[in-house]
Amino acid sequence: MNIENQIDMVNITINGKEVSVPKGIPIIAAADEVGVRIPRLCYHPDFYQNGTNGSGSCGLCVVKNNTTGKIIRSCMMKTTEGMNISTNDPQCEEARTTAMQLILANHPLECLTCVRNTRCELQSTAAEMGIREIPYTLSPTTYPHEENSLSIKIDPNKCIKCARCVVTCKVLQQVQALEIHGTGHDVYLRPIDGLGMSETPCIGCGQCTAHCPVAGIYEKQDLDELYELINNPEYHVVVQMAPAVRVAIGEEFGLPYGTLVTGKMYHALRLLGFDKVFDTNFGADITIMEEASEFSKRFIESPDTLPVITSCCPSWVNWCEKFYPDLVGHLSSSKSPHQMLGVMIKTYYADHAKIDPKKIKVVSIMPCTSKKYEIKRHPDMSVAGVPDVDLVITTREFGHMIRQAGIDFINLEDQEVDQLMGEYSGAGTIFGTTGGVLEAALRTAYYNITKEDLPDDAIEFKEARGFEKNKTATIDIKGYEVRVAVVHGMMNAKKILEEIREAKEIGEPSPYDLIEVMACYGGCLGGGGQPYAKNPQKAKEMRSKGIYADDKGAKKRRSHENPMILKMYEEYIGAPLGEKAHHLLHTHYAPKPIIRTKAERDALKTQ
Amino acid sequence: MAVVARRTAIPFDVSIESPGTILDILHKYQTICANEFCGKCMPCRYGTKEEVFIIDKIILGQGTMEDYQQLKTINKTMKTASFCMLGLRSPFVIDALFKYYGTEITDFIEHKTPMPKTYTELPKFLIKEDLCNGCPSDEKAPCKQVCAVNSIDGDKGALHIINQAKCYRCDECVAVCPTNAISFV
Repeated sequence: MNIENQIDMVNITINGKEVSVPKGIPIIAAADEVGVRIPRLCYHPDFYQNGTNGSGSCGLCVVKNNTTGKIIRSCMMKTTEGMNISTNDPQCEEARTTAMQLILANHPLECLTCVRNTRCELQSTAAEMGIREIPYTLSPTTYPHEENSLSIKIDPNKCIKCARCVVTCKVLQQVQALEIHGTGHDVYLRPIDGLGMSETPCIGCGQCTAHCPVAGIYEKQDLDELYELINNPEYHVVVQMAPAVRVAIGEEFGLPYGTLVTGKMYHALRLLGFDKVFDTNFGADITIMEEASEFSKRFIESPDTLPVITSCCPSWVNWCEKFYPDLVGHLSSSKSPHQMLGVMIKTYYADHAKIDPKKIKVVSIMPCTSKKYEIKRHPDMSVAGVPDVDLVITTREFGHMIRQAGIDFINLEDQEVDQLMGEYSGAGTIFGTTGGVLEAALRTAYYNITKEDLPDDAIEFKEARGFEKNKTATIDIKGYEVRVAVVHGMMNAKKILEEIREAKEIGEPSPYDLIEVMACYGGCLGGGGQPYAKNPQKAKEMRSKGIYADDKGAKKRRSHENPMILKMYEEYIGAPLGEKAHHLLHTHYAPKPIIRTKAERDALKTQ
Repeated sequence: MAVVARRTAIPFDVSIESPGTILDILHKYQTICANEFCGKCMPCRYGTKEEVFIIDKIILGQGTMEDYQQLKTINKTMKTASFCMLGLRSPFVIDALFKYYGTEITDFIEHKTPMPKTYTELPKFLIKEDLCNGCPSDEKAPCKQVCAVNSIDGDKGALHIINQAKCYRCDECVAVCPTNAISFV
């Protein structure tokens, strides 16, 4: 990500070829840059880019340093000037093969019925290395599965103990809900201290599932329930899909990263038997109407309550409630887009189409595992007497559905979304990438504050775009200076939140007015429920390009210009932040305890 | 017996004097490795476990030469791909035993030749009385210095003796002896 910034380059030799690579990056990353593939199971590029080494546990990435003659792990050793590395030394290859065979001997060979079948890194690495036999004793373990979380499941038997999830959870997301327990051969993955997954500080972001090379940790599967809903003629099943899904679902069918397949997706959903296809981007437009109004109001009327922090990301909300409970007051009270659309479907659409809300079932397709938790987060999430959203499936599960139904996705004709709550603005679609919510909010906030539209040539906020760690900027809205920050990844959020906390303690005004926080790196497009990408970094960049292209091609690029939004406000809700809006579209937050040991849990119970 | 990580011996509660063939000793040693190592990285975690399985098989008389070769392959992998010194060095003990008692083990596998009941009955490293001068000029004799498990006793200038119960046949002392007094008999 920041490779260009570390301009120091060194010359090293990889397999006899002299190359110039950045200094101080792991050898395996340097090899990736010059197109030499070293097998790996525990290394992930996200780790070194965020300043951690990963666990270095698999032993597959061994290479030979020809200068010293030593065998080293390429994920742990940093590049230095004049290194001479050979990656296909016979000694290394033999060690790699044996290590891989030993791993496979301890992994249940249930590929055919596995949730990761054909999308498994262990499978593809074994294929890459040409493993043709396992000469060792097959001895997979039989630990019980951990199934108590709403979003994430653990299968300790398929887990290869590479500890990617543990590093992701502890370092990247600063949560520490997982651990590898035990010593010797008797080690297994479990929630920290053997607690139930839902008791741990887990925020459900699903980054562990996105980083897992096998099906050791994966999203809770809801497809069976979904088929029951679709096949029940009593129910009117409405589907909505998040902005980041349309640029990622094509990858499940071999399309290049970031291909925009909105039309095909609508068509596939109709073929799958959904009765109505709406779009979460419309929900995003509602969110902007509410959130931007909330921000403009607080910015003008009560600047002491700033900053406003976005609350679209349930993992971030959950994290804030646990780790920064003193700042929950700054979270925007607006619900997330799919909840808003859900509640509007059960009220406005139900009225419109004259269907009993109890008969309507709303299904969301999300790039996120946390949304599975969000629909049961708080009583506000079923404010209309029925749950806003009944079921959430991830992009990956959606891909499974399309394959199961035998739909030729690539050759589908484009179709249009259903009217009433399908048409969306460019501001709605950029919710899927980091910086998008902020940009969308600013487009509408500009209008709210100045009563003028942002000029078309200034509609793109370059400061908010890109994958840099913490993007901060001061934006001039006709004399008002708005200080904004865009954060993605909980590790990065810590720094900004500490600044706010410090300013609060010494009684100074907050250094920022509007902050967007997303728990996943890159925003929703890098979410825990997105298709597994072989090159995650490139996937994120291309998906982001796809989303911005969708914005650029949109007829209307500001949420408050969306005619259907205006119609809905006029016919049903009234004004943003009005009484009805407050009832339906807003929610509450409360601090939550952090439990990491059984003793802490018991102490809380007895209180 | 001890697990040896380059000059650092981590003793476990297994005495080499307890009766048993080489395979029994190997089994005990490997079981301890498999249970007590940290289990973090894969070559060592799965390698030690697999070695216990194979040694078990050989003890039961079901082993083949293929199994014997597999033990060697796993050892090689652990020496190449392990992360820490424990993983890297623990195969050396097995390798040393294979190097000196390989024929006994292969005979047992192929022809079911019974093995001597105790480890100490087998050929061993001995210091020849007539050649050892006790290294009078050194503060501590070189053989004593290199021995990772402190199996060599003897005062400065006097005859040194190898404690067979501790020695694990690593042969490092052979190379450092200035008078070539140590040999395998």
